Amino acid sequence: MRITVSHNLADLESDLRKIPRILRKEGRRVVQHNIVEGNRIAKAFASEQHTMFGDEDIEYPPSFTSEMTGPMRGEYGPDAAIGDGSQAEGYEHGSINSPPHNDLGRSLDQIAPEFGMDVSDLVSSLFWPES
Amino acid sequence: MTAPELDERVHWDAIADALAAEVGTGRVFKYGDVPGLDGNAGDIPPIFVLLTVQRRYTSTGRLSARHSRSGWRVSTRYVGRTVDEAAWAALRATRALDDMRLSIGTRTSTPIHHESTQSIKPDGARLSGSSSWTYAL
Repeated sequence: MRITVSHNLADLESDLRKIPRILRKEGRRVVQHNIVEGNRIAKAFASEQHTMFGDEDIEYPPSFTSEMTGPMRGEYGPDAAIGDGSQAEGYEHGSINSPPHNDLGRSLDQIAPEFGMDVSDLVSSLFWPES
Repeated sequence: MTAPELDERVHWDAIADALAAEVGTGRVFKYGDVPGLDGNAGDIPPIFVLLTVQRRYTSTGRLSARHSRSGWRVSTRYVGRTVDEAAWAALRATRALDDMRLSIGTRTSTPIHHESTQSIKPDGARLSGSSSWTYAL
């Protein structure tokens, strides 16, 4: 059996025209997926501290939100304007009296490698959309 | 369990020794052990460093899910009576940890990598800031 793949410059030209369009759409999807997942994990860590092991600042976990801040840029974490979100700095990084919770840092440990792979897969798929 | 040395106290001791060499002995504490805080006897030291070490998540590419390495996160909170004192402790802690390799058991860690730093601000009876670091063993 033999597989022959042939391309010509017209194919390349059409690929190059399609790529920016696909990248805008799929790039946004990759970022959005990862901030939602990162937020879910960080919020779970925060819930563990504030609802499983205690009831202090029980409105802290619900302050974890994610949002897109640009076409391919997003952020997640506690929002100071929601519930007990304004306590975030003390919980995340700790103080003289309490050790850091590192909810965001620990969520990054899980999300960062996945995000890297998602971006890498996306770039490969731009040239091999069928794969 | 294949990852080496998982007792966080052993990691804590190794890092505390490295910090003490820069900030001075008797100035590195665990949370709950600081004199004058948490109901402990004595006066709060003028300058000190609070150290926590925790194992962190590392993904594994192996189907058996076995790890031959373990990842760790170090959090340091440097405390002083003035911004200058806290900044001094921060600089010394940075000198002690940045790119340092820990010898734990028979293994040498990857160089300690700076992760993030928060600025110095009023914190109870003192001023403090914090930095976190990561390494693998």
